Amino acid sequence: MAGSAAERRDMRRARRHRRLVGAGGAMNPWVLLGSLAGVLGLAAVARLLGLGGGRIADAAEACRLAEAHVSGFVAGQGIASLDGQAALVLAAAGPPVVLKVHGAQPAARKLPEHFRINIVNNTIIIETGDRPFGAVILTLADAAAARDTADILVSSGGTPCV
Amino acid sequence: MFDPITHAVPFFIALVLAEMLVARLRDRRRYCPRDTLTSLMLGFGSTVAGALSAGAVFWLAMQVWQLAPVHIPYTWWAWALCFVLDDLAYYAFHRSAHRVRWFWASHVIHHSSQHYNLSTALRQTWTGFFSAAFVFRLPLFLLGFPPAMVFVCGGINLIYQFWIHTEVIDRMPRWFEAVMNTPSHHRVHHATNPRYLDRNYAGVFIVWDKLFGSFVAERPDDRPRYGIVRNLGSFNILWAAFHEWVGIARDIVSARGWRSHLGYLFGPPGWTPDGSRDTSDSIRARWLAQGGGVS
Repeated sequence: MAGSAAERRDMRRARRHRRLVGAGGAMNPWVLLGSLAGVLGLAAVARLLGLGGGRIADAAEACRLAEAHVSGFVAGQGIASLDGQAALVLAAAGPPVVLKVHGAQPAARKLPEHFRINIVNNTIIIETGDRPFGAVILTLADAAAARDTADILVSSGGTPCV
Repeated sequence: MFDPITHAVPFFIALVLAEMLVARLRDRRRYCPRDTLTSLMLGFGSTVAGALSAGAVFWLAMQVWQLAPVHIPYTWWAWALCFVLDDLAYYAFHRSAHRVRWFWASHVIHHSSQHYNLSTALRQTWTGFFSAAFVFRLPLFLLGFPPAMVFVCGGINLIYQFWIHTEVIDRMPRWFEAVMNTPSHHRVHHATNPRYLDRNYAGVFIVWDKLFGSFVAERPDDRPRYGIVRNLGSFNILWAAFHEWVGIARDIVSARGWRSHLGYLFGPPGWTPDGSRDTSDSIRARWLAQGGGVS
């Protein structure tokens, strides 16, 4: 039996300390598997609920987004992809900005001085020079619109792939 | 060691599910399945990385604690004091994590989602140990707080920060907004609007930001845009976890002179010798010069 109240209090504190310190940082594999199942389950629920979406409505919105996402950028002409998933915004001065819908939000890149473009019928594929970001695909009304846009891009530093 | 975060996981899952249902009813764009999966996988990786380094961190904490001139006992007042001081240490860490590229490289993962929901809260670093983020807690051990007490307080601190990653709650009561970190204050922290960049670093108590001049209130006329200045545009979890470290390595390789090396490592994110990239300060300065702060 512990004697004084002070000793009993010290023993209680020591027990609490042992409980807190426990077995160090070991990780229970069942907790790990459970966490992984939880992760996949939640992502599946998000998909089942139909969450997400997001589109760039029109050229005016593309211009507004480009100015918001790229500091100091002053938009000139905007061209929104027909599928609402991408846009090209020409600068009042300097290189253009491309936008793509990433998740449910727009992500932007100012194009480098030289970049490559590829025209396939009514679509233009713009290489951003940023591999993780990837290419931006603009779907336009028809092949003539794609050619016109490509001409503008060439004057801004774009090189068509042959 | 007792880990309050492990015990909180069922609540995390339940609240994420509830928030998804609200998103389904109000605005489906608040969640994106791929972004959610990326955030949660990054959280999962962070748990594994944390478990791998926990032993070393705890050992180090014990070594420092043994140097303390006094050892603080497990009493109610010690818990309360430890919680407040740990939150102050968190403020110092978090401010550094945004202002020093070395720490930002580790912390950027948490800001790399362009969504702001409860799954974003779980998007946590994989490289916290490597970046030596634990040094910000060392003063607490030197003061004599037992490591187990400090880590439990730190866990509770992180659990508190979970619920503030939401757009579902607009404002809390005024007295609460005045003292505590809230969804509104933390939305500001995650925003890339020039007005909001690098503000509201608090963990639990927003008073630290008010005290140290880093507080900005959310405004209805300046809706937060979430993410980072140069958004990744990728759901690759490895890229999200390591892209800033890759950037540092590339800059170090191409740098000339010790000043450039130090600047790339410990300067603010975006620092370059010639100022050719944007930093938070240059973005804010440009915005102010364009009349952004007027109104």
